[in-house]
Amino acid sequence: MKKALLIILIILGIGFADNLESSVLMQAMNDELNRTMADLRIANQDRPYYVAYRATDELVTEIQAGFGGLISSASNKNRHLWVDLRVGSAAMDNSNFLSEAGGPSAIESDQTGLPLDDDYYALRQSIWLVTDGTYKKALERLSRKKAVIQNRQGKDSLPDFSACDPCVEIEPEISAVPDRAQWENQLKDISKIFQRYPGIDESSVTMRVDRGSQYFLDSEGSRSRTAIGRVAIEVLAKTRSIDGDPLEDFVGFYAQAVDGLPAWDRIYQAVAAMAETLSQLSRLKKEEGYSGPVLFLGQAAAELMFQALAKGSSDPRSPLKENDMVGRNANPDNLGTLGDRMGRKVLPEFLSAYDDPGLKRWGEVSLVGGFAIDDQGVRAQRVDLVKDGKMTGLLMSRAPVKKISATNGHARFRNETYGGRACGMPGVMVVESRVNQTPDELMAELIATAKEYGNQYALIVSRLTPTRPKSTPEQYLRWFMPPAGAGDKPVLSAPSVCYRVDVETGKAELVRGLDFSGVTARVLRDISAVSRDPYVYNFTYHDSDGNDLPTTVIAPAVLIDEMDLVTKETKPTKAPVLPHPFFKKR
Amino acid sequence: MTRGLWLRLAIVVLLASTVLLGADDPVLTALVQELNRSYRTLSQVQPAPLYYLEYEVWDEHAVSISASLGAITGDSDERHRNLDVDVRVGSAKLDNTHEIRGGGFDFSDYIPSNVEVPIDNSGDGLKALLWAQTDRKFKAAQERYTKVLAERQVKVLETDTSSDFTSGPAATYASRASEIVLDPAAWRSRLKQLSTAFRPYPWILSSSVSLTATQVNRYIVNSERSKIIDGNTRYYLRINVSTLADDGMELYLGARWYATKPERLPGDKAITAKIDSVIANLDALRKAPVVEPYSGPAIMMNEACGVFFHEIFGHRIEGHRQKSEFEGQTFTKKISEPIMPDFISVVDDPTMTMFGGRDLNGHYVYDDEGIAAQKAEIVSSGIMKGFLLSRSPIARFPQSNGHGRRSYGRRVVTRQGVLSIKSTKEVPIDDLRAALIAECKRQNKPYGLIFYDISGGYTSTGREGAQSFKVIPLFVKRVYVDGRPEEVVRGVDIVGTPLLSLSKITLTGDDYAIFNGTCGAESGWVPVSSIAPSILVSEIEVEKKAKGQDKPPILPAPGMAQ
Repeated sequence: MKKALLIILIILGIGFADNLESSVLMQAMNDELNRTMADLRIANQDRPYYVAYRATDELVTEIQAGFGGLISSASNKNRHLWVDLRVGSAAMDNSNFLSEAGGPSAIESDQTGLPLDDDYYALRQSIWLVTDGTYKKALERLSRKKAVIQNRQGKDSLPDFSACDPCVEIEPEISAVPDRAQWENQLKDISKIFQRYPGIDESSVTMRVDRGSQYFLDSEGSRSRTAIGRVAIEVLAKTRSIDGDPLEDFVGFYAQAVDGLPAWDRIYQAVAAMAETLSQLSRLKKEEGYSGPVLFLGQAAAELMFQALAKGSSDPRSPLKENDMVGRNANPDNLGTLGDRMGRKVLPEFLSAYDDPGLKRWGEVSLVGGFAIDDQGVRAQRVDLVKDGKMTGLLMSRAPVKKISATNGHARFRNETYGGRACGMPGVMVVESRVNQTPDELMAELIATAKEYGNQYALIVSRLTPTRPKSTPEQYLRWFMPPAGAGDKPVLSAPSVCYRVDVETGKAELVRGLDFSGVTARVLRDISAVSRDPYVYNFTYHDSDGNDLPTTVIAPAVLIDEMDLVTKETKPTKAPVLPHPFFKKR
Repeated sequence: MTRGLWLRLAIVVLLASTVLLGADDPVLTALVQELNRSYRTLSQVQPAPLYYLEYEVWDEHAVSISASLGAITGDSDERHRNLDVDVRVGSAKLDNTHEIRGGGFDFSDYIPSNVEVPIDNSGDGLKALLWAQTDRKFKAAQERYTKVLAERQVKVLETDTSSDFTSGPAATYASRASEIVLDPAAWRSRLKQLSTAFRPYPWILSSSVSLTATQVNRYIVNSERSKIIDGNTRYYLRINVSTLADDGMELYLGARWYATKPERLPGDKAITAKIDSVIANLDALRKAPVVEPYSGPAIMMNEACGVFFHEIFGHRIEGHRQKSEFEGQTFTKKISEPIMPDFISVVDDPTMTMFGGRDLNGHYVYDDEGIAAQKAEIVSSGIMKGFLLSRSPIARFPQSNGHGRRSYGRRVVTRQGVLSIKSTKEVPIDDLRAALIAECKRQNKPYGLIFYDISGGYTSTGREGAQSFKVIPLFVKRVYVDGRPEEVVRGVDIVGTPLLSLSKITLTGDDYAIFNGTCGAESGWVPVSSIAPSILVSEIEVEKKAKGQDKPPILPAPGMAQ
């Protein structure tokens, strides 16, 4: 009897904790949403036909260390609300439009901070005001959008918002227990590694831990609470080469929770390896260029797939631009370049790729890119991007494109110069091959191809420069000089670690200062062989607009038969006048 | 033993401890060691040797809690240390900081150049960053110095040929800021409670009650062997409230208290009373008529007068503006000439800590160039006497008076500290009001204006623009000559030109009050105070405020039933 009672109590307890209605935040959003749909209207203007609220409730811990010292450490509670309010109709609404329309000045629109307490009254007040501002901005944007369309003939008539089934989901809450003191010490220890490398001028180590929940509610009946769990340790090191080129490398360690990170000693080893390689690079002269086969290993192969395939399949719906000025600054990250390749060949026929945000683990490794519900409240689905070399799908939000009308639950919110948007973005992308080779076979093929080419060396790239967060001066520069728009950026970033292998002796040496030349999306079709074991690449995609998107790419090593690399253009700097104060005694 | 000796002994002990306090400070030690090492070598680098090097570290602990409508909206407790490195190459006569005329917009001036350094006294961590930043700044200084020299060849000589820098004495000083003393839990519930006072007013768009406590120790060391730790602990309590009038005009009011100790902040009763009066004023304001452009007599109430003087006068007596070829230089050539009525004197004295029993947040002991703050005499009985000065000398004023200020990441320029307006033609405030009505009658005006609260303003000191100012009043009343009650009005900005406006002051009150605020300019945000009486001006011009076009919220505020 006693036992039965206990079980009942536990069930009740769980039931209570997992009841969304018991959340004051959810309650406040729900009540304001109902009122908005029923009553919000300016006379003679459209009423909202769709409203969604997405709120995050997090504890964010950020720690920074450098050269053995603790630079900063703070934990802050953070609540934020985003409103997606649509006027017009699903066929034509205020979305998919980049505009300078700012909305009301005295009332916030689109997003706002929320009170940190579970105070229904105060929460309602914030939600009410931002909804009001968002509604007014939506009306302004729709009227501007109609004006632009009227003045441009022959604009396609794609609908703006696709239908989808309501989704209800409740993930268990994660309680936030930051162990800041311990992490501070670990971070200081990591940063101290650089005290062993006189060849490195500057370094920093940052750690960010996000713990909490995301709430979603919309006027179509979707309601969900999903867990937010992210931890990122990122290490940046800078130096200059003997001939004055600025050099840097950036490595990161990512997981959903601290216990999912690699063991601390593994992290130390990886950072030390990075420091060692960068030190070695700093002592090398620039390589004079290379043409021939290139083998992409590990991170480099995954970055290649991310940059050329995942970004190309992202955000395929190109929004209408209000004017040329808006157009010039749009899409600085070159997303969606493969949007028009549906049904066409983008990879060799032995390769396929899919994105499945539902994947949480790959063997022993926990994956960071996944999510159960996307930022439009839609259940994330697996999508086949490429089958047997042909493009079969794109990363979709609820913004339809020509050949795909439905979402596949890949919407991720990104702030942009002209307001934020939910864009179809990768979660966990997996590249698979029907045929594959052992590392030795791949190496042999690399050497053989290089010989055919008449080369004395073959090239192996083991790291491609990943995106990293911008420093404060870089952020300011961005303010003065907006990033170049789509088309101006290379498809592939420069290699940060690569080796040349002597075709006769098989001896590998580190080389420096190479950059890809003339690479287009076609590079993917030139893949001639892949390895058996894929590399699991967890990372944060730090885009040009300052968004940080946890992402996973799982991809095998790839051999590309022919690539051109040139000497990387750099702006040489003078050597420091004084020796580094720590290393001066040695 | 006599009491006098005891006192002297106490002072000796205090001095000794002050010196010791600095001596074993790990941050100070690291700064001095690295500064000396850098200076020794960089001062030998030709052709543009380093001749001055300064490190300033801002060691800051900030606690901030805010509440709105009964709920906490912000809650943070953070420590940061930021480093500024100032490098001068060439010579004091001509160095890398020299103004370059033409050559386009240099946005590097607008990018903060501070670096975050360790908070845990890690000497190695701090020194590594000092080294990297000094090297970066030194190279940038050399590059800029080359440009300066090149420009000399092609441009005419400047009007003011003063040197770029002036030497300063070696100063040793250590007075650390006291730790922040507050119970966060108690303040959370207190702020929540206070913020519920706004709940019954559905027309209020946003409201907040917030507490910010900052403990800042500025470490300044330079190649002139100065070693300074100047600390300030500051507590601010703020009320902010805003609404939209039916015609779309944004209206906001607030109140703020400043103290160096938490017990000197007001109690709940005083805060609640202030909240009630701010709400009543805002309510009156949103229903008030919009004023048509007007020119006539007005009273600027004491605190508003402090802001008024800060904006229209204070920014024009900043030394660097007298030198720059881009500045309007309203007062540059006015030394020894009358510039305002002879019953008014103006000084800026950052060494003042209190006035009328209240703390002054513009107080500091050393400026950001390592120079002791001094009282600067600006106007004596209406006659222009001097300027606020940094270590960038100007014609006839070769020495700093300790007004070189900045927030971290910015380049120092001259700024105000504690601006004090003193009158010898004072009357009680009721008499000042009577004088306003008399002046209106004399000028045949149906009413005069009283400015109670001013938020700040813009003053265009650049040569390219008109030498005018615009000041944004928040709370204004109309006083009728026919005895009708005072009436709240809205929608006006004060506009004018500084020389003319100052000459129109005819009488002042005896009701001196402090305005404690934060001033933003080229060198960032700095705490400032103004002390002023209410003033009567025979003529002031107001124009229509640019108005927002936003409709007030469409739906009523939710949950009003509660």
